[in-house]
Amino acid sequence: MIKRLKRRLSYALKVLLGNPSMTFGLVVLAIFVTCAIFSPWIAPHDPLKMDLTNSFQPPGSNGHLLGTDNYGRDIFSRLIYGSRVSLLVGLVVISISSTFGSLLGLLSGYYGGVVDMVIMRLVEVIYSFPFLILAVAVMAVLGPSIFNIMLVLSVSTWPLYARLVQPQVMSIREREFVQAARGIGAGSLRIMVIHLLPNCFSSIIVTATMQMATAILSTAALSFLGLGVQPPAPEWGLMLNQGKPFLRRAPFMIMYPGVAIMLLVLSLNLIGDGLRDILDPQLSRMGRI
Amino acid sequence: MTDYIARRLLVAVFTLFVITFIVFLFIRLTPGDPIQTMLSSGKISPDLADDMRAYYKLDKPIYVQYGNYLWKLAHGDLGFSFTTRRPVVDSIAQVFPNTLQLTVAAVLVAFSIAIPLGILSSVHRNTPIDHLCRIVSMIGISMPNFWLGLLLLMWFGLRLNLLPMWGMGSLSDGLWDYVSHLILPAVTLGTALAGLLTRLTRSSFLDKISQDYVKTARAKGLKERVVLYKHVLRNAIIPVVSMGGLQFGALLGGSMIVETIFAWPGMGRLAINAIQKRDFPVLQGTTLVFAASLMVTLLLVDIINSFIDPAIRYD
Amino acid sequence: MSTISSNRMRITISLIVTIILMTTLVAFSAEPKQGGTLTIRGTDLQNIDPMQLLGRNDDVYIADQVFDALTFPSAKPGQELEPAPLLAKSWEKPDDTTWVFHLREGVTFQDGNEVFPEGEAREVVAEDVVYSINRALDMAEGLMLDSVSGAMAIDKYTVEVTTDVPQPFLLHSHHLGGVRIVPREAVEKLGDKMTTHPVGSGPFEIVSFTPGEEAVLKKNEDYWLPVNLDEIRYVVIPDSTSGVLALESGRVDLNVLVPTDEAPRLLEEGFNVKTRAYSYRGIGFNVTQPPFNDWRVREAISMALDVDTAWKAVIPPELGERAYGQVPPIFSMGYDPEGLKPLDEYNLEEAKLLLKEAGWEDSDGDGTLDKDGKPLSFDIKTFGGSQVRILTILVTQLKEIGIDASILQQDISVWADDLIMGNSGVFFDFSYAGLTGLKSMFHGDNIEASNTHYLNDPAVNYLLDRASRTMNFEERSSLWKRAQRIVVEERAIIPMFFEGTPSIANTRVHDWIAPGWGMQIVTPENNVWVE
Repeated sequence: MIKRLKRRLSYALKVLLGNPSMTFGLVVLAIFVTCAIFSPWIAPHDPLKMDLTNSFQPPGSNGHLLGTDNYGRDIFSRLIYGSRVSLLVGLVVISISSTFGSLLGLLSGYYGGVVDMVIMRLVEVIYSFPFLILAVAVMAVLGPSIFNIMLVLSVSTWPLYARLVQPQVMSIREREFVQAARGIGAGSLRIMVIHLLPNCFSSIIVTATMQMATAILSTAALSFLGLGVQPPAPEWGLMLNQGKPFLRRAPFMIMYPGVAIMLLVLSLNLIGDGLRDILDPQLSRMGRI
Repeated sequence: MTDYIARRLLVAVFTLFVITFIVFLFIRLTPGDPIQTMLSSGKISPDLADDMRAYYKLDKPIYVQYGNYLWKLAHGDLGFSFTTRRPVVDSIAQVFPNTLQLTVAAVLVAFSIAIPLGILSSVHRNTPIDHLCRIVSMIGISMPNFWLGLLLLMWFGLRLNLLPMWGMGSLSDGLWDYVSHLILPAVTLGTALAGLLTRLTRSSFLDKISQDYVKTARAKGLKERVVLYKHVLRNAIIPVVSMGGLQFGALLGGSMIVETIFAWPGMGRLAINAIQKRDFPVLQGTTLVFAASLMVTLLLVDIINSFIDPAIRYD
Repeated sequence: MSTISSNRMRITISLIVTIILMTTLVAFSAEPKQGGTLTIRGTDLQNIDPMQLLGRNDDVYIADQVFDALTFPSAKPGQELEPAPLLAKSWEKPDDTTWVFHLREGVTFQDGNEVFPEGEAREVVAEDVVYSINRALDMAEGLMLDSVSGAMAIDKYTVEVTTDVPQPFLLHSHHLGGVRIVPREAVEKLGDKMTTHPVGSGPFEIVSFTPGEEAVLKKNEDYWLPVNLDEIRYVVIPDSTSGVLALESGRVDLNVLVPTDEAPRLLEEGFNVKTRAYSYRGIGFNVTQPPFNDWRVREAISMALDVDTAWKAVIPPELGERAYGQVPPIFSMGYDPEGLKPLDEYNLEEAKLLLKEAGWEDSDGDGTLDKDGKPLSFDIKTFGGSQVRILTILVTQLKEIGIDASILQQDISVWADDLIMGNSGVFFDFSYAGLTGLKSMFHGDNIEASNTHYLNDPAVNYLLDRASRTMNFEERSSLWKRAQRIVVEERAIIPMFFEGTPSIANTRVHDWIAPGWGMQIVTPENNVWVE
């Protein structure tokens, strides 16, 4: 048992060393996660504390590492706290959409026939919806909030998992081991969850990692349009939105949040890319992202 | 094949129908209309508001409104815009080609970056060059495009004063006028796709390089370069092109922010305006056209694929 | 040799001096220059049929160049937005509901177009005015002509307009002042082209008009006033940041209605910033919604807000004015800063006491006031704009005395709907009082229509009813002031500031007036020219 674990660890280490970009991604992600968990201890200032006499301080002045915004709030501290929102939204969205999507894909692939047709038509309808218009319209109508962002992103991304799982399930549902399970009297639910689903795990994990990156980008885009997280909360897209009018006076107000978004999304993409190489050679050859 | 296309078309029409229904319900059951906005800011009087509601049939029950809408839709009439009084069909017909041009340009930008970079990456697999290409393409995927757009506009438009800052060029003012207007928005829109396609080109190349016919060609003593270009490139490019096609539809619908920043007179801007002003007919029209064009591209990609590779069967 | 060289030098020097002199002359003299193109940046262009403008500013601005109305809003100091003669050279009011207009003679419609071939334009006469008013009555949206009951031509140059009720604002730009005069032939011949290539009698003619992109206008050579500019290009750049970048690049001369955030820096950098359309911005309560149905809560919130500090941090002094009441300074009727200023008080201690009296205390020690186990927590509903920056500051202030307030940015139409339906307890409040008058904003009859505060105060109702029956300026103004005072004392509103959305031009542009509800390029008062 211990031997096996050891072997696995050394394998993982070998993989990481052989894939520096994935290692880079993991390190960056680890930094962001640390920032999110320990924000109150890492951030030098209160992210909401205004100091109207000290607005637009350039980076490095008066103990403000990355300067202050138009209200004199510390940009660095706001970035640290902002990582919480992005990671939270990303995690919640992929949890909901991958669970829901995989289950529907499972049902669709396992039962086929009418079930398959209904689910796949639904998938197609949502697929052909222009996502950003849907998102903007929903936020405009239901009102902007983190909850609504999660809702919109989950609703619009689950079909991806359904499409991923459905053909895989279809191709293995008649295999011997499934037949065997059926032979010893296993119920449909049991077959689906215990025998079929695990076969799709690796592709689901790869897709979910990359979708988390997309979800974080979309959250930032919605907040940038003023339709996401509301002021005065520290959130990266909102910081971009608030910094935009001051593009020329204080370019650092939009530089740093943009870089933060890019780094986090980059780290997730690199990890997803690396995971695909390891977990799912077939998927990687097909080049699905 | 014909059967397949016919069936796909049928499904597409059904999907569009469902979409009209969803959009209609969504829009009508939610609060707020442009008349209400004008009323609350004191721009119009309550009496006028009632008249306007009657004029636009907003006072009728919802199923009557939907019935009217479908009837007109079947006759190619998408109604009149609430805010501009122009026929929705006219507005869309005016801007749709613009968005199409921008999207095509963005896809071209993406291809022209992705294919060389992807080949480079696959040829130097697992070397520093490969890792660098990977990072660069991943940065492309990871950048918020609205952010990139603003920075590009500030640098190339204002600081360097090299490129136009707004609107579309026209061919009648020369090729450069047309192209120069396209560069910034197309780069902004195409960067993420370029990253995605770079990765895909790399894996597709790696896949094809290891195929038997390539090995045979090599064994026959053909030069490496000939092998690469003649045997690998042609086959490896197919999945890249087809992915480009698939993403084309997504780009069409994702051009809202880019069109706004660069004042590109396209569909995305029309849609975002319509959302802000609760211009129901325009919002319905744009959503429908977006959905339809997405479905058409998917269908086209399928058909093209089946021609390129007869092994793909649809049943 | 030396003579030649010194001669040459002399010539060079005198040339340089001449050039410097000329530049100075151009730069500092008020001597207008003929010709040139003015490039204006707007946010959209759609339809410029003068009866279909529906409050779309950019379209209104183009229509103002193509058409003349009877009057135009003056920009003279002290007479801001007072109607001044344009097509009507004078008018009189025989009684409270009758207006007689005398038209300027010899004004012709634009020629060289589909409607009037070159040299065949006809004169603008009373029948045209009557036709245009009737067309507006038939179809105009966004104009408030409800009170107009009829128009008729008395003779070739005289028009009589009658109203149902006394209407002191008849000539303002959302009423009859916004009816632009169209020739009947144009409407009949042009059909749908009225929306893009209309013909009027204004200082500029349409050369091209592409919705959503650009409009090009050229000088009307036969205009009854001299016109300096040769051409106006009106380009559409919807994003405000992109618009400002375009202005800074020098490719755009005038940027209309720019968000206030951009203005201070551009002022420092030597651009000219002007504003005109002052509108009211404040915080409003729905006085029927708990906990704001308790006057003490509203009063306490108003005392806990340091509005002075907040608005000064966001709005540059050139572009705004502190508000103590709802009527903006541009409408002298009812504007009452002296009377209302004493009602504005910042007093945290008093605020806490009032809240305690109303039952709000921090009983569980979590830093937020509560009552019956419920925390004092609410969203201030608003839509995007510079107000979000001020509200961000105010919300932070409220948190300091234990009120858990936050901002909810809504889409403008949802915001409006919530207000009218009474779903918002406290909200960002903005309006153009004076156009529809205080009555539509605060009269009990207008609840669920335009009275978003749900105020139904018998005294206010009475005063506003009386005001709408009188044409006497002094009397109406004093009735409005009394009503407004009650509204403020009731704390249905917490006035913050009047904001003028600025327009910004580079130094090339001279003799320009800030666009507001219209854009005046050539009027009897000004004539824009560019270097």
